[in-house]
Amino acid sequence: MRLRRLENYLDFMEAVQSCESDVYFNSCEGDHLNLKSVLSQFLFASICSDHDFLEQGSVECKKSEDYGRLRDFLCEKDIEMCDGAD
Amino acid sequence: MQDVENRLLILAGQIYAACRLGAWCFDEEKHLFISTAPHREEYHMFLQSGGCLQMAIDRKDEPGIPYIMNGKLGLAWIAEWVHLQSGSRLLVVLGPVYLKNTPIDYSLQRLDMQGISQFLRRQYLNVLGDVPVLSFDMLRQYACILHYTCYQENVSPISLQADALESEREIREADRMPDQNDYQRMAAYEDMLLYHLAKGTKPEKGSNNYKGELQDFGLGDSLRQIKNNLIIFTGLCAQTVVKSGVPLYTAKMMENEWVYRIENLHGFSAAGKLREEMYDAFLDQVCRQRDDAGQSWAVCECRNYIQMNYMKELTLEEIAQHCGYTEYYLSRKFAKETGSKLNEYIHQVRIDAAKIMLLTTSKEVQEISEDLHFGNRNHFDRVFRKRVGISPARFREQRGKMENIGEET
Repeated sequence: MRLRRLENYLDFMEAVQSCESDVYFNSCEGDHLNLKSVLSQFLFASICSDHDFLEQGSVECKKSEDYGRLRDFLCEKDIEMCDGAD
Repeated sequence: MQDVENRLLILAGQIYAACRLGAWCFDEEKHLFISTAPHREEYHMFLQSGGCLQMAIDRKDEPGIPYIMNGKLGLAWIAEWVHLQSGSRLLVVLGPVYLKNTPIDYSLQRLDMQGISQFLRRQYLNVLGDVPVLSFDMLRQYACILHYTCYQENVSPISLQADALESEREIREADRMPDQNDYQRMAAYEDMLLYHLAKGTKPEKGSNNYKGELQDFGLGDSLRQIKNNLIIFTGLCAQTVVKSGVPLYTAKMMENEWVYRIENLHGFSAAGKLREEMYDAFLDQVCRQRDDAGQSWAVCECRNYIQMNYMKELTLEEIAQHCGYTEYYLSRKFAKETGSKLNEYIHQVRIDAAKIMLLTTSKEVQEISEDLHFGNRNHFDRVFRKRVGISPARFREQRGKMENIGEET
């Protein structure tokens, strides 16, 4: 699922921390960052001001329930499509 | 007298101008009021993700004293709680800072392991590139200045140390640059090893206070440096064993083999083990040479040449040429000194190798016979039976069974 324009990255990271399972950010350059790992969080932080780059990437939760916790940060269209598929 | 907020603003400007060290102010709920650091969003996430912000928040009930936090991935921060006249409390944080001893190297290694794209790598290094690098003592001085700014009182470095977090020892260790003693200790340790190597005796463990860690002297590429140290030590071992009587050819062959293995090292963890194995191999060679005492140089060289080349098709002419004698003279001399013919010795070495191949590989007997240049299977069977008492196939069957039983029990 694609990310919305993040206004507050720390809130997003806190939401990621509240997820039960691993959450990945897949960049358009082929990076696969596990946002629960500290190094990946640091890497993610270094691109957090590059909105275009973030918006071209996607967020992937290992457990589908975790998408609900990140709902505020994900594109509505993607959530609707996902909800519709369920 | 200026109030604490004004003093902090002046301090923030001064430390940023001095070394681009950022200052941060948070309330008790972790809300950020102000920051002078570059890459504010990124560093704020570093502070939070590295666990240091929570660490500082947890200490809010402790009396005002600055402390240094060593966060994850090597970034350090200074923090202190300030009591304002209004009765509220303010958390002041200075950082991030990299302590000395090539921390960027550590980050690069982690990045390499992560396997990230060039774009992300560049972005990350751009952000990290603005993190100042300071010594631990300098960081402590900034902590003292922060405390003075907040409370207008001096804090002794001793009380600062006592109040520092448990990770202070790690910080100090990371900050410690290699000194003359490190080089001296390593040189003394290697001298001790070479002394024992020359005598052919195994050094006792712990016979030297220095444990013989492979040192990274913080000069850049750590793995390359450790490989270089190992290669130099291998050369020294080779020289030492030559002085102890090991033929030059053998020592050189060993040196080449170990240098090749060292160059193929892929991690630090295997380096220590490889050095031990290399040292033991040279030591074994010296001991073997001692066992051969009383034999001439030519015979020793001949035996070594056979041991190193038994997988090739050895001829008497080739061996004699290597040793610098005529075939007739060498074979007579060998038989006289060892009590067995040169040909028999070659067979013995090859049969020993065949035993290992039979038990450790799944090669056919015919294939082993060919690898060891026995000509044909019948000849191999005959020579093997003569020396071992049973045929190669029977040997594999019997010993294989015994090993299986051993494994099962």
